[in-house]
Amino acid sequence: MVEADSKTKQLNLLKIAILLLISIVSIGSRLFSVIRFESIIHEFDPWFNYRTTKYLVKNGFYEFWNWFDPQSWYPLGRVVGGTLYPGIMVTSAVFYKVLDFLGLHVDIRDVCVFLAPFFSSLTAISAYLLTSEVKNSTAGLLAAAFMGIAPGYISRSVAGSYDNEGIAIFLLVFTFYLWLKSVRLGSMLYGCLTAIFYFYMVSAWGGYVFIINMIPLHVFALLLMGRFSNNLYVSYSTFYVIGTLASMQIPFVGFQPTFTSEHMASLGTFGLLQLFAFAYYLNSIVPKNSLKLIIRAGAVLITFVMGLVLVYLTITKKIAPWTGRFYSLWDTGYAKIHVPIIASVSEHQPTVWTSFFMDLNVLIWLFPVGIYFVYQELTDNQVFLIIYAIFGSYFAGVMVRLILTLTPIVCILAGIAVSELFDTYLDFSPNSKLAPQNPNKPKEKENIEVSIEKSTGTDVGNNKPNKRTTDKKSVTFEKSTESTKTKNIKQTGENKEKMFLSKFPKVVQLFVTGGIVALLTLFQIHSTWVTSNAYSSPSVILSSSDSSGNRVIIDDFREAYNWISQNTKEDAKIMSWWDYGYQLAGMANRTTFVDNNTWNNTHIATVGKILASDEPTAYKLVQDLDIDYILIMYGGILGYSGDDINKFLWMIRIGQGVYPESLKEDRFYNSQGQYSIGDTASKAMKDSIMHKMSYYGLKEVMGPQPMDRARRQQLPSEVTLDYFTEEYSSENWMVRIYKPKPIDILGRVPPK
Amino acid sequence: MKAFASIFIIISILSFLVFSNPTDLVLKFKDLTNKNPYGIAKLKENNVKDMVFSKQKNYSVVLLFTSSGNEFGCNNCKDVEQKISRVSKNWIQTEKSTQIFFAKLEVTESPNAFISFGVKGIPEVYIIKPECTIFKASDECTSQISIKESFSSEYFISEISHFFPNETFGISEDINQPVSKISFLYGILFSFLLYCLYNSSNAQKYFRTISLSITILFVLLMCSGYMWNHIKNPTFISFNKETQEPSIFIPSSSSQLGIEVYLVFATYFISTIAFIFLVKAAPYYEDKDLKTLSIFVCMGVLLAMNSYIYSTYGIKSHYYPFRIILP
Repeated sequence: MVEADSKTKQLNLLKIAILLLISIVSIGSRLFSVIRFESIIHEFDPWFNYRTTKYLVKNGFYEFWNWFDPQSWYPLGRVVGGTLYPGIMVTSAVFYKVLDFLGLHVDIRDVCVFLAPFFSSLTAISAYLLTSEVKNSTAGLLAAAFMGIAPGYISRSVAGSYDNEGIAIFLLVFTFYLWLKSVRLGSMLYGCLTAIFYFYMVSAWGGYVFIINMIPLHVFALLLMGRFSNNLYVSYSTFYVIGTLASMQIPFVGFQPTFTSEHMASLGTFGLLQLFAFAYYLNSIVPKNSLKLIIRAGAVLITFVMGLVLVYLTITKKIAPWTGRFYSLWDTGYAKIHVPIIASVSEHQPTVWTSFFMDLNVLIWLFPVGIYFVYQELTDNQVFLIIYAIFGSYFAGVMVRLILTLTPIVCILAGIAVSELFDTYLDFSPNSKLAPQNPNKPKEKENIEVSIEKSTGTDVGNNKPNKRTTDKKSVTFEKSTESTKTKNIKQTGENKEKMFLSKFPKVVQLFVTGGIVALLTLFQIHSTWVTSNAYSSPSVILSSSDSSGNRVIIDDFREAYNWISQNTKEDAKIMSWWDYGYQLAGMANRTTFVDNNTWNNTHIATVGKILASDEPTAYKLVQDLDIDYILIMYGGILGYSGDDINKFLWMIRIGQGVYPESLKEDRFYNSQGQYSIGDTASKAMKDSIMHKMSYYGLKEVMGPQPMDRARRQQLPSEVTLDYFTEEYSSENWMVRIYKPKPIDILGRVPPK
Repeated sequence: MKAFASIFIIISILSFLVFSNPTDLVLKFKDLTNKNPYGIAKLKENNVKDMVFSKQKNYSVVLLFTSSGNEFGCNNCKDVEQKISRVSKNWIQTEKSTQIFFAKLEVTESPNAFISFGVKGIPEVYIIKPECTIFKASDECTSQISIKESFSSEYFISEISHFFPNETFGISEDINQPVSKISFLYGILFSFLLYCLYNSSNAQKYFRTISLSITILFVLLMCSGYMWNHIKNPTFISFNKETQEPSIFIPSSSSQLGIEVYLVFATYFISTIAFIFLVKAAPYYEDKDLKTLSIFVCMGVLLAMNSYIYSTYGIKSHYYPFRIILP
């Protein structure tokens, strides 16, 4: 017994050490961008999160909650508190305050930058917890290791990508862990905890809808399989009531859980579960014959009433279950036809196989192996894994960005698969399945196995079928299935014992494990490579290499934003295309017209119209809208293809949707139908202020054969600008800032 | 006898009226149009001259020359037709729907019509005015609408509005119902069947095996990019123009051919099976040699499949540095 105790302690210590190492690796592999560049917030949306976090830290929670931001969407403003998921901001503010209280004065920016890597280590640990909950701790450790380095998750959680997904995946996995634990134990406490973490998830990411559909689906599947139990009833009822009430506290969600189709599944399952519970209760007090009648009458009555209610609500338009919204859940092609602004975003495209391979590598085919092993012993919790696997893979197939929600289940099931292999092939003890064995003592082996499982000190017991019998009700067919199951297991067990007899060289065992370990090592190397090459670019700073191979840092964005914050009035209003709205507000701290929130299409279209109009029209609109500066991106000198001229067609298209009479896309193609920028460009193109502002004064600096390197075309020979003056162009001319000329003293237009 | 004669006379007068009246053509056209859910009448070479270039007609026709099959490798035919059909669907619901008709000709069904009209390439769209009677592309009475890379319904409307300045066109959004009602019904029946199977206890083992294999196949298919094929409907296999050799993997990591999905799927599936075999079956053979052999075979299969997938990924993205054995 003493020996067993010390062994348990050793095992626990080892587990903690391994988890610690996994945490370190998962944080470490996300720091490429910090080491290469610096501790900086990436991309576009994170800049908004960063700005709001700063506001929260400075002004406190209530100010933040009621924040009306006049600096964005000028002159409309934006009610920030009611239109965001506050989870991530509150989290980092809490971290900041706690560190500050402890005497560690960390910059709020550093808290924001390192938040996602920190949470990714927590995700790895919760993947461990979840997997040990459904399988055992070996599989758990493997799953945690996969979770820590899978590029599918790293893509959204590198240092500096301060976005909702960074903490949301941790919450997703952890909520599922708590849910499974509460189903197994039938514990109200864990049900409450699930609800609380669900609330946290709702506050952090719109993807909470995934949870509120997965859990009811799990319950529903269990009911269909005849696995109703009091445990299930207690945990789901607790979770649903508390979770839904809590989620309605987030202003952005509000009353949605009561009427939108995304939440209907959870409500329906809740009702169904009550009926089931009631039927079981009746079963215990009413004689069998009359029970049949009651159940039949009840079923008819309830269907009738529900049908009436549904019809009534649909007619009065309280709920709209069969609209496009419902279809768009299943067919994302729907959104593509109907909402062009969604179609223009690349991460809403369906997924090609290369993306899966890049993000999951060998785990893709280990994932079904895990499903196979889960099917071997189908407990309540393992049903959940299967449902998650099916839906996760479907949604990842239709939309690239949803590989993110698939990644946890892939890691968990792959962990289970690899652990099964190691259980078989890494067991060198004389009692191992592969070792030569004495036919007289098959029993002993089982005992040892059980004792090993017990000694690991985790909750592995639940996958033993006999544990479930405690909460079993008088469902007849369930009993029979259960008994056949155990019989099957026993029979196969005996057969196996007989087969183990032959001798087995350890070399082969080592060969197999060595091969698989080599494959997994390659996966690790692949992940690091992908992280370093594909997912670690801040996109605020660019880097390229010159002809001699030295690294050149291109820092035009920050240079220009810094110029704005130093050289313009504090209340200056700066117009740019919506992509740069958050960055402008975050880095230059000036008023913007449109930003990445894209809530007001008309406003965006107006900006598109200004940029596509000729000078007099644009000047008038600029005066009307009280615009002080116009900022555009031009990548023709560097060969940077993500600039405004390449986005120009989208601006025209979006503008055309609102101003069809003044904007026509085909006017911007030249007579050959090409999108050209040089002398052959169409008149509308050459007249547009976007074209003029991009190429104004460019020819003088470009030398004898002026080329636009992003589009590989000749520059236009003459560009004039009468109504605007160039205020600033950054080092590589990437950011150009213009100012409308003031009307001169004689009121002349154009001003001379 | 008298009554018979009068009926005969009435019928003949009526038929004369009907056959000589251009509205007959309109009715016929309307009928053809209504056969298509999107309001594009499908014409053939035997009736196109009567319908579109008849002297008696008083309507204009928007005529699309296209090919919906894959024989001619027309990539944007379907796309163009779909964009136009959104406009035509809206148009047939308007009051003036008999003044302009939308029609299409399939190259496989009416090759001669394409030749005699002088179609240079597919897809092509022509507007044929009421006064036009000669079945030939000419500047006077037919006008072609240019089809460019980014053909959209809005663009199409703006183009045809030049020719019909008094009309207003709209776009019908058709909800892509992911499941048709019939397949939905089948689904319900099928799941009911499965449920019955599940409940009859002796079949439970089979049920489990079936559902396990369905799950594995589904999950793997999804993870091999099947949905991309389903939504984007790419070319299945492409041929090199000069050598006429088929290319199975196109070197681009943001798109794929139809066949790629199935190859990748097969690779993953074989790996999965080999791995399951390696754990569940191979160690339990009684014969020692057989056991060792099967384990080595499994490992060999795993190695082969993985080196294949790594090397194909190398084709798709050039910068990828890792390979197992295969270049």
